[in-house]
Amino acid sequence: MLVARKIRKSFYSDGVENRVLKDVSLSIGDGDFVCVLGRSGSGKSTLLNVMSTLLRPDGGSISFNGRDITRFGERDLGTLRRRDFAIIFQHHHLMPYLTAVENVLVPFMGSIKRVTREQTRRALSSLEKVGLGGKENRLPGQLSGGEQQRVSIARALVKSPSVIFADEPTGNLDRKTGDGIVDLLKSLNDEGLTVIMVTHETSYKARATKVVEMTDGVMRESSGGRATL
Amino acid sequence: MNIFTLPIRNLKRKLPRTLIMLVVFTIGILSMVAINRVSRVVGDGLEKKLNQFGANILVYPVTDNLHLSYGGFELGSLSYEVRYLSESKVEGAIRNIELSKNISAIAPKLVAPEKVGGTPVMVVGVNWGEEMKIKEHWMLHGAVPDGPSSLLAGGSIAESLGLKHGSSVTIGKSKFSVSGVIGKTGSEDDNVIFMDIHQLQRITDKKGLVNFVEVSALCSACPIEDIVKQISGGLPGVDIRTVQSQVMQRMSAVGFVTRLAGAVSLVIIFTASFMIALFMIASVNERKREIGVLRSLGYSRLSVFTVFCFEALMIGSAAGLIGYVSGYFASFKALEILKIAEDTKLGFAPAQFLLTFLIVTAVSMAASALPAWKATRIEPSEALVAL
Repeated sequence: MLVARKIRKSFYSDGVENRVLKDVSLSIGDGDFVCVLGRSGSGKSTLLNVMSTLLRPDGGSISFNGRDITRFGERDLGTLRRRDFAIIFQHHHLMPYLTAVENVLVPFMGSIKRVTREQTRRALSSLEKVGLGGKENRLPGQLSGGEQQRVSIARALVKSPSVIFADEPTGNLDRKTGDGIVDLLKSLNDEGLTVIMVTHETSYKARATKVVEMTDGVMRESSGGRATL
Repeated sequence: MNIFTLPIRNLKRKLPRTLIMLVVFTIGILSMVAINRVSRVVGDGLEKKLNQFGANILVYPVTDNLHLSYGGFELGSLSYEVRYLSESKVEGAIRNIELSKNISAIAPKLVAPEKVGGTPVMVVGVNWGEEMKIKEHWMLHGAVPDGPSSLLAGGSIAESLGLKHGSSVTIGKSKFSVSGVIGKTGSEDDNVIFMDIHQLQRITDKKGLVNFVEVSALCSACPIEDIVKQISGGLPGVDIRTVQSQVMQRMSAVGFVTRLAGAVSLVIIFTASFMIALFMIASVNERKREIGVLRSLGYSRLSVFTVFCFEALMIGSAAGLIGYVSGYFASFKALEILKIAEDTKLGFAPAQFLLTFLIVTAVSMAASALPAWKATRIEPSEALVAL
C-alpha cells in the first residue's frame, strides 16, 4: 500500500548538513499498525513527515497504491491529504474558537460551499466513535488533554482516510490517557484502518503489527509487535 | 459553515484588537470623506466668490476691422461699423445651453458716448441685478440704483464732474440722480457712468440692443471650452472669448483646494493600508500552527490565502461603510464649525458612496495580499514542529 524506498533527507544549519534519514526503506501493507520507535533525534518524526507528504525527501521515492507521491504537485498532494491521509500530532492543534464538532468539520470547510447535513452527521458520528458523544458543543478549552487529542483523531477520521499518521500522539498526555489514545488507534486499526505511529514508548509496540526502530537516521526492523518479522 | 467561518470566528476571538483596527480605519475613512466633502464646498464657494470679481466669458458681435499700415508705419485698426447684439436673443441663447447651471451671471452692456454738462463721458447701460453679481468688489459710496432714474458714477469721472451721492445729472434730455460713487478700482470702471440699460437704450434709440455681454461661468465642474462651444452653437456669427487670466486664476485657486484634499486623502489611505498590512502580518505570525494544520488537512494555498484576505476584506468593508456614513454627517458639522455652511447643497451621492466603499475594500485586500501570500508559503512541517 505505502512503500518508501531509500529515502534520504538532510537539514542544513549554518551550512552544515545534518543527514536525518539515510536510505530508509519501509513497506506498509493495508491494515498494518506500524510502530516507529526511536530516541529523540533519531529521525522517526522526519520519516513520518516525509511519508505523510508534509516534507519532501531529498532522495528516494514513496509510492502509495502504486503511484509515486514524491512526484506529486501541490494540487495532487492536497487531494491526497484530503482524501487518503490523515495526520495526528503530538499537540492537538485544534482551533480554539471552534467547538469540538466544528473542529471535526474543518476538513470540509476548505471552500465556499457550505458544510452539508450529511457532513455534520459524519462529524458527530466521528466524535461518538472516539468516545466524545455529547461533548460536541464544547470548546477545546473546556475539554481535557485526552479529550482534545480525541477530537483531533475524530477530525482525522471524518473523511474516512486510508492511512493515519500519528506523530507522538501521547507525548503531551499522562500515561493513562495516552494508553487510552493508543487503544483507540488500535481499535480503529482492528476495523481496517492503516496506522503508522511514531513514539518513544516501547511499551506500545505490543499493539503493533510491525515495529521498526530508527537510530541516527537508519532504520532496522525490530522484533516485538503482534506480528514480528 | 464554510471557509469564511474561520476568519469570521478569528476576528470575533480577538475582538478588542479587531475593534481597535476597525475604529482606527473607520476614523481614517471618515476624515477622508469629510475632508473631500468640505473641500468641495470650499472650492465651490471659492469659485462663486471669485466669480464676483468679474466675468470670464465675453460675447461680442463680429466686427469688420481694417488694419491700417503703410510702408511699415502702423496706424492701428479701424472698425467700419459698430455692431450690436440682440439682448434678448443673446440672453436666451446662453440660458438655454446644456450647461446653463454653470452660468452664474449674464451681464449685458450698452456703451454710448454722451455729454454731461458739455463734457463728453462714456455711459454704460447695465442690468443692475446681473451686473452686481460680477461687481461685488465695488466699494460704493452710496447705494446701487433702485430704479431707472438713478445711476452710479465711476470714481475718476465723479471727481472730474464734481459728482457725489445725491447729485443730479442730465443725460440726453433726462434727469438722473447719482445714487452712489464707485470707489476707484484702477480699471475702466473708474472713468464711466453706469445706468439702467433699458433707460440708455431709450435715450440712444437702441431698444433691445447691446454692444457686448459679460458672462460669469463656474468652471470647476467642466472645462470652460465646453461652455463656450455651447454658447457659440446657439449664437452663430458672434465672437466669444474667454478671459483666460481670470479662468486660470480661479481654476488655480479651486484646484489648489481640490489637490490639497486629494493629497491628504492619499496619505490617510496609505497609512490605513499600512496598518492593515501590519495587522495581517501579526495575524499570520500568530497563526502559523493553524496554517500548518489547514495545509496538513489538505487546504490549498488559495484557501489559506482566502482565509487571510477575507479578514482584511471584512475590516475594510465595515470601515468603508461606517466611515463613509459618519464622514457624511461629520462634514456638515465641520462646515458648521468653519461657518461655511450657508448655501450648502451637498446631498448624499450613492455613486460616490459605492465608489468609496469599493476603493476602501480593494485597498484593504491589497494591503493584506503580501501577508496572505506569505501565509501560503508556510510549509506544514515547518509550522507544526513539536515543541
